[in-house]
Amino acid sequence: MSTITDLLSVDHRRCDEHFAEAETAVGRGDWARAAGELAAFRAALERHLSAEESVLFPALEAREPMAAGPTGVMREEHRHMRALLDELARAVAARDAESYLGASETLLVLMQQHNAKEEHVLYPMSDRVLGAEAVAPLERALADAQAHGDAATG
Amino acid sequence: MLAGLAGLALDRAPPLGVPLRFLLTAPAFGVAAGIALVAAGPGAPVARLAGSVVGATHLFTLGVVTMVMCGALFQLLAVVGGGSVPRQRQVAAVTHALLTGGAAVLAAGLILERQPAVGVGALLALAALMAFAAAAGAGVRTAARGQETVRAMGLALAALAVAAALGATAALARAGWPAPRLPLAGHLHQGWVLAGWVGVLVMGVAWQVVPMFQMTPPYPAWARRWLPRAVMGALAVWSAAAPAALPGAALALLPAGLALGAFAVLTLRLQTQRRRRLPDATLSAWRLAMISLLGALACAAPAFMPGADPRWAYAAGTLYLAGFAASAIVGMLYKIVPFLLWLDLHRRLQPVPGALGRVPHLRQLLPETRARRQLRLQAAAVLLLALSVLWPRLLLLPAGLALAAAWAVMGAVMLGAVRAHRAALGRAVP
Repeated sequence: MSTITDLLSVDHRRCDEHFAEAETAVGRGDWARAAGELAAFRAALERHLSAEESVLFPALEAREPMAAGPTGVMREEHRHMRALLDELARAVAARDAESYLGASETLLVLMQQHNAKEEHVLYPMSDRVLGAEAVAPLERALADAQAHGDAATG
Repeated sequence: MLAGLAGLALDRAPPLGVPLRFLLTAPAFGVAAGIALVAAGPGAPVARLAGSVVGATHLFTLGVVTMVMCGALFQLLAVVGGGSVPRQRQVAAVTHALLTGGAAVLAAGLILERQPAVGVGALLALAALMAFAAAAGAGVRTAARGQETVRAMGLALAALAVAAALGATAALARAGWPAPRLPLAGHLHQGWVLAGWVGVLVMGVAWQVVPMFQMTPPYPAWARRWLPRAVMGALAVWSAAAPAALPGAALALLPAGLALGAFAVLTLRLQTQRRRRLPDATLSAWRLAMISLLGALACAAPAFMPGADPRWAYAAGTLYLAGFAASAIVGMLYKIVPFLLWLDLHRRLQPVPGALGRVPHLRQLLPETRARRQLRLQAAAVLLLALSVLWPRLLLLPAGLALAAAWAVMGAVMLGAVRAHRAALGRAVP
């Protein structure tokens, strides 16, 4: 991947795939599949959020102190997403489709408007400020987290 | 500001009251428009330009469609481009008050044939829309560059300014007040409002929200780039050709019609490829919007033929406004209203220990069953309005009442969400 925008936007779509699969499974009442898809979604999303929080945001804030406002908003939305992920996990454990779909609708809108802000504003800005050399550490962070996640679940 | 950070206003999203005041005002105008249509009587489809019908139309175009689109723009600009309208609280307060007053006074003047009210209402609406177009246009310039949604917003705002100027000119002439003499001002006004302001803005919003909420593939890049430009270009050529009475001037609008048709077909096709498979009221509302748009375009083509039956133009306008624009709007409201309330609860309850865990989710704020009920009424209103063109004596009354009912229920659904928001605040901060 040549840019931060490309790398992380593609990763958003990957998270979306798992989100949609999990939701569809809940809609069909296939709880075993829902649990698996939710776990995959959760791992993918957590990997993405962590890479941003541990690599991208600190690099951006170090180069541009004024970025702390926008990255602060992004971190806060990450917190809301994690709380909603917990709700989804509880709903799957309780096999409560209504709670699941309520929380997943909330997460969908939160996540998509969050992604839009990142893909249209924050990532292009990161590309301008940090340049191509920031792509490799982000790729590594995503890969490390994946390897770690695979080891943990495997 | 540092060049790399220009336009970044992710931490300056508008406070709840900025968009919400517009969104919550619209249903009252929707109810009024339905009642005004009933009052206009079964002659409406053949007397599209009678005061009673123009008044009812403006209750809808200004009070519902423009009202919601202005409110939503404050929010969308921040989300899709990190832009913000300068002095957004003041701009929202002033434009909302002027637009509400302008729409009500203008419509009342048209319906009751009080010429001074037509003039005053038109000037109030003109002030509201020019102020909004200027402020939101400045907001667009603060947004991240290179985004087709933001570009479409800029084009739509330009169309709004042209439409408002033409509309005010036509209204002042109708009121017998001194106004610049522009041949066909009222006629051109309709084109700029419908295809320019409404059509281009809905396109720009769709580029963002259809893939986002339904998880569809993105619209093709050529469509995002060229469809809004085709509409604007066609309007510009038509506006030069029509007043000069050039033969076949209406043909200049053909690219706009084709662009809108392509937009509807693309949207319906993308929706079939969505990854999110669950039923969703917003998805259904947007389908209804796109089918209505195709119906409106099919009726618009014969309306431009010389000596056309006036009912074609009436049917096209009705399907476009009550079918296309209104269905896209209600579909957005089902998601935007509860999300704004949810976000506000999170902002306010952040400092209260343990309160965030009890924030109601979107479907508790605005239940899907209520959205579906509203959508059924909306669909019934569109169908009845379309059929009332053929059988006005039988169907105009139920069509107007269905329109009023659909917006009364939309108002109730939104107020229910606001009440749930208040209750959640009350529980957390006794």
